[in-house]
Amino acid sequence: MKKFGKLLAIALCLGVGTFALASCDPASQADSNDITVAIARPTSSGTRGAFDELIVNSEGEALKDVAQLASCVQESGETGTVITAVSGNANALGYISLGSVAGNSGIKAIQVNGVDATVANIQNGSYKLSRPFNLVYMGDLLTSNELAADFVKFIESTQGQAIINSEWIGQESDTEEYVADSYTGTTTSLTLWGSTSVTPLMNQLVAAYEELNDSTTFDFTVGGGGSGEGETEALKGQGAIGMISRACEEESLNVYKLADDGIAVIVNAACPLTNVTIDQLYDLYANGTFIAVPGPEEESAE
Amino acid sequence: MIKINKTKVQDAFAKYIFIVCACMSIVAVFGIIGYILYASVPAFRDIGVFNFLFGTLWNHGLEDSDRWDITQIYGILPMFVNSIIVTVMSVVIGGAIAIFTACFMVFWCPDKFHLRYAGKNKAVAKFVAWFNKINLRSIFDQIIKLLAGIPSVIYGYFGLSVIVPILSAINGGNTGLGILACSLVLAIMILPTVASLTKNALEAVPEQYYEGALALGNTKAQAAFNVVVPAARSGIISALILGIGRAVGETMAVNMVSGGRALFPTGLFSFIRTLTTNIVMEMSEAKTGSTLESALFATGFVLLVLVLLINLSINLVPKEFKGKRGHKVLKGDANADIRFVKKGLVPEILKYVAIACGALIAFTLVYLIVFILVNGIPHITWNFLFGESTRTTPTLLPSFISTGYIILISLAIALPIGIGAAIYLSEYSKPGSKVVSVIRTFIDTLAGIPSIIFGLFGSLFFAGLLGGRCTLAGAFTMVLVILPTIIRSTEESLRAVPMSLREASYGLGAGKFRTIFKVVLPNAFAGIATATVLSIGRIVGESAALVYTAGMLRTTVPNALNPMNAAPTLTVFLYMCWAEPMAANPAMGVAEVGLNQAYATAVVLLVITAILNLLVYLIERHVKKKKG
Repeated sequence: MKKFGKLLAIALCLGVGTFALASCDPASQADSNDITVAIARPTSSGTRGAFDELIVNSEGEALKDVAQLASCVQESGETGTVITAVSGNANALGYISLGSVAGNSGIKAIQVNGVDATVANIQNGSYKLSRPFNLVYMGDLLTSNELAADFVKFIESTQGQAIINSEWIGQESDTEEYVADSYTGTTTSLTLWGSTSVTPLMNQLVAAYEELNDSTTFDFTVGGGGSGEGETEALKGQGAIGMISRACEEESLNVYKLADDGIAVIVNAACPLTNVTIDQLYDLYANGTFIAVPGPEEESAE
Repeated sequence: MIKINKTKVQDAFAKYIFIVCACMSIVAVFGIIGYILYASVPAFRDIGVFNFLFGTLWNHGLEDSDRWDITQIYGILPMFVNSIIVTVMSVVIGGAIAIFTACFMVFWCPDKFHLRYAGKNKAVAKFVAWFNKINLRSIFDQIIKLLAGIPSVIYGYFGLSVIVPILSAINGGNTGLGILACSLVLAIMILPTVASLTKNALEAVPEQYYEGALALGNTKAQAAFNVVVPAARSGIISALILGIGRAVGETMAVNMVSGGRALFPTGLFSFIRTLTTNIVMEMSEAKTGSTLESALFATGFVLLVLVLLINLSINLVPKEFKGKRGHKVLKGDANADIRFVKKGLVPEILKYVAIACGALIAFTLVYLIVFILVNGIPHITWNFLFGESTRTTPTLLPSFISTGYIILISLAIALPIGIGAAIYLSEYSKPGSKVVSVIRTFIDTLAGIPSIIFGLFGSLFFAGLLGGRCTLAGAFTMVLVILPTIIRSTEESLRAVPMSLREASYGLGAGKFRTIFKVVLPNAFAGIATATVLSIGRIVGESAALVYTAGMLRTTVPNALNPMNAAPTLTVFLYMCWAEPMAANPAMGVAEVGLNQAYATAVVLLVITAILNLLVYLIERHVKKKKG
């Protein structure tokens, strides 16, 4: 019993010591609702490149000219990790492709400069944050490869554009209905590789295409970790199509514009913040200025 | 006449084959260093070695900017510093706990429960008797081994869902990610390695040291901490160095809790990026042939050099009691380093620290397992395990297939090479020969190379050779990863075969080749089986080496059945659940679904790890029984 008492005392000392040491950290205590953590993508990401170019403050300084973002900015390797991080932290703000927002109960897209992030607002130009989704390929792949050609025909059809226009912005021209089971070619496999932002759209398109042509068994490979991988894969010239979420940097590749995509600014679903200005975003990412969010408790106190 | 010649030819031929097998690890080490250096040359040339090593800014986005040029925007100094700091912190925390745990296991872990039951209920009495029979020491041993076998990505999830929220609460609701979270996760991960090696070192100290100290009037605690621990210091230092090597090279778990910024740390909660995570963060965005890609390979090269230096420094540690346990080394006064401290409270306190550390580890393991089981079991369904896998509703079936392929293919290649190398080392080499010590150094070097480096090499060499990422490229890469384990374990068991068996075989007229295959190898079967099981465990738990070789994507069963296609293994799938979560049902959040899938996958991995550990235990017990 005596031993047990000693043991307990030591364990207690250790525990208290660790806690005391840890809580001595000079980090400032955050107000419960303020945005204190911003989440960016790595500098090589297509989404980061587009965001940095679009965030220009009222003095004309663009985020892309800032060499080192503020220390409150976290970098997440992929779209999914931004979602995970924001849905797990009520004080975090991040940005992802608008098409990736839907179906995530833990996060919400907020207004930028008072404009909702919707397809209609991007089309009429009032929502500023958007960039292209491109398919890149070698030579005349989109016409010479039977499957690729038919798949593009589907993308341009009414059904394809309906999927694109649900959360992205497709072509404006009149479209024709894609006839079910109209694919007669012999090629059944196609690789679409690249940006994690394009993948959700491509998965929907491929699933719908496979459903329409259910008499053929296809072997689509859709995946990738980034726009760079998309270009790399396309450059190999082995029949793969690259998916990139920015303008193509490679001159030897041909570009097919798949859609326009909005970049949504997201916060935790529990966060009362509904609107940010581009200046606030610039200050948060470049200077680490926290965005003050009046919480419901504070309002009632006033 | 002909028969004799045949045997001679056979023997000579076999010897050369075994030498070739033994030299494979030398080829592998040079191949890895050479290829990664070759891939980093463009970066060193364009950026400049000095700018690259000492530059403080890493920003690919500025490559097209007019104000910056390429020599300024790829600097790895912050990453290097972060790697060092995280490693030091994790080794201080994890190493200290590990050493105390080892002391607990050697000196204070009770053999058995001593429960008494005076009642008359026979069932309870039987239960108590059974309960008292449990060997606690061996259970604690198994706990450490299980901790060592758990895939690193599971530690990442543990860090993300348990450690980070606690740290966040300590940090006043701010983020819990960053340097402290990384250090703690790494501390848990290196703990089993350091603890089991320290335990071996403590057990190798001659018993006379301990008994002598007790005889001189020391308490148990004084004898342990003032005599035995100092005597085992070289072994403990070696264990710590191995822990450092592991901490520097760990990738995926660190990436999950790091925050990803290439900045110098300013506090315990600053977001950091280490050398390893720099590679995973940006590799998928890097175009082939770009400066960025080359700079990432150069980061890998710097990491490789760092790890090689750390591992080679083990050779500087004097080997006092390495070798057989209980071996006498007391020769003269120089080695008898018994320090008698008259009295002291410190060892008594340390004793309780040791017990607390032992309890902490047991608690951590139990908590980890319960946490994963509680979160994972509700999400395990037949469909999730073996259902048809599609792009939107991924299942584990393709991962089972690709994991199986990689295990089969890499074992089929690595076992013959590894056994051949072990045969050369134990049967043909002369003791003290220089060739052997060189080969052994290279095997140890290969064993110490971080898996992300294997991944980089595999993506350059095997994936390049096979025209892209595929299961086969992953399997070839894993051959290099598991080769050292197989060689070591087989060699150990070959050496354990008594010399008299070989002599008897020669006496009956058998040649060397025949002796090895008919007499020595069958007797060393248990060691080879252990090596196989350990290798399977390594393959199942591997992630960083497979992401860039076997691929990280959602795939279908028919695709996965062809080893020339890319498919994620179980652990890579587990990592994907965090990195690229995918919701089957749009009404539920992607992140939540991803987490649910992750815990379900983690349960499957835990079960596999537990079964493999049980197999090793059973094999070892079988060997012990055989020996009597």
